[in-house]
Amino acid sequence: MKFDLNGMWLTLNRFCNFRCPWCYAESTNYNKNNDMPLQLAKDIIKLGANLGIKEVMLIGGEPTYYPNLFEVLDCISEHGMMSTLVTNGYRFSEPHFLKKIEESKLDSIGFSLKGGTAEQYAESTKVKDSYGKTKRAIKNLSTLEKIRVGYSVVLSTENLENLEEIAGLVASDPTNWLLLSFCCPTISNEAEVITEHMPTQLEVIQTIVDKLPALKRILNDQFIIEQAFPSCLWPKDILDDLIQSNKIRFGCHVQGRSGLIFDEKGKLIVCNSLPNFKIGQFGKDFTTVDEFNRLWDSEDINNLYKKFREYPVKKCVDCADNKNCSGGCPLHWLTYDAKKVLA
Amino acid sequence: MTVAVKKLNNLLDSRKLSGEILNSCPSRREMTNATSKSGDGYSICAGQCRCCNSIGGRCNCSSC
Repeated sequence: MKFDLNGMWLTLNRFCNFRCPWCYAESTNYNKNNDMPLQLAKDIIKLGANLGIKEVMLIGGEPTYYPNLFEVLDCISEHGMMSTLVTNGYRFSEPHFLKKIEESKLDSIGFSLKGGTAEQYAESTKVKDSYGKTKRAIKNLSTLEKIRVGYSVVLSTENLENLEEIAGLVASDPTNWLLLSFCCPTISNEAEVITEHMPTQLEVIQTIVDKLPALKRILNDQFIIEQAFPSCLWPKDILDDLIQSNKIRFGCHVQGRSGLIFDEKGKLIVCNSLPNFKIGQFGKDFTTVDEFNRLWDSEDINNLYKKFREYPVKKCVDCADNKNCSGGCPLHWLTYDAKKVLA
Repeated sequence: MTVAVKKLNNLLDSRKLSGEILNSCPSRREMTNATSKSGDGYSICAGQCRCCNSIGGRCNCSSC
């Protein structure tokens, strides 16, 4: 089978200055000693380029604290790939760091927002001045010309009610876009399903529906919803409108089998919500393209990925909307009973 | 099968879903590379199949 891998996530470190309670990185203890060795990062980037991957997303922890960030950006550029830095944005409040980024080979920034108010920011991140620094960073980034900047927020129980305030933060520059993504369960090493900060499917949909007119107005229509639920849970008229205006996305790289995630040790994981389930390791299970392809096309891995593409219930098979619906995030069904939700 | 893959299989099996697997378009390489305007880095899954217009790495066209 031919697989089109078009993106790769590299976990450069585990340290972060924020302590957001819903973050998948929480279980890694934010250890400062858990940086990806520079040579390992370069070797994986080279493998990715040889696999035809076009875009590398740098994640953490907080990758702006990775000491070899600029060497990694050079390496990505040398291999003709695009780079995106997924960050909490805090360091862009520092003029010195901003200047270095501006002069680097970075292509785009994915700025992850944590809330909409000073109180909410302080409470979620456990950093007193995080809101002020975030506002300053957004202002600073509006001056960048070569680097594309996008804003995102993971909708959690902490920030769901503050969507307008979050939109207001982004809208301080009218060219900014906001991506709304949904909180997913995280699975611990003991296979415990953690959903502590995850609003229910219906809470998320109802909140978005209620706040949609305000979001459209504040953001001047510049937002995208990366939704993780079955289409049929949305009110049809709202969903049709969002599809028509290209404001909603379905599916993920796991279901499309189009992305690779490497942790800081070079272990290959399926999804960031499954940080403890490695399906292979660079340098041990594969180093070359041929070795990787043998693993990627092995019976075990093929069967595993099939399970991520399982229809939640039988009626989905014949549903007219299934081309727009991925059946929702495959991990949501660890929390919800598909037969009840989609009865 | 490694221990981690086995554990992951067991975890996914515990969902008790339909058993029906979504079709995968063999021409997935034809998916458009829909990089997000927002530059979020999470948009690689948002491609649209050129043969059946399905979104998100899924394909339902008869040729698949």
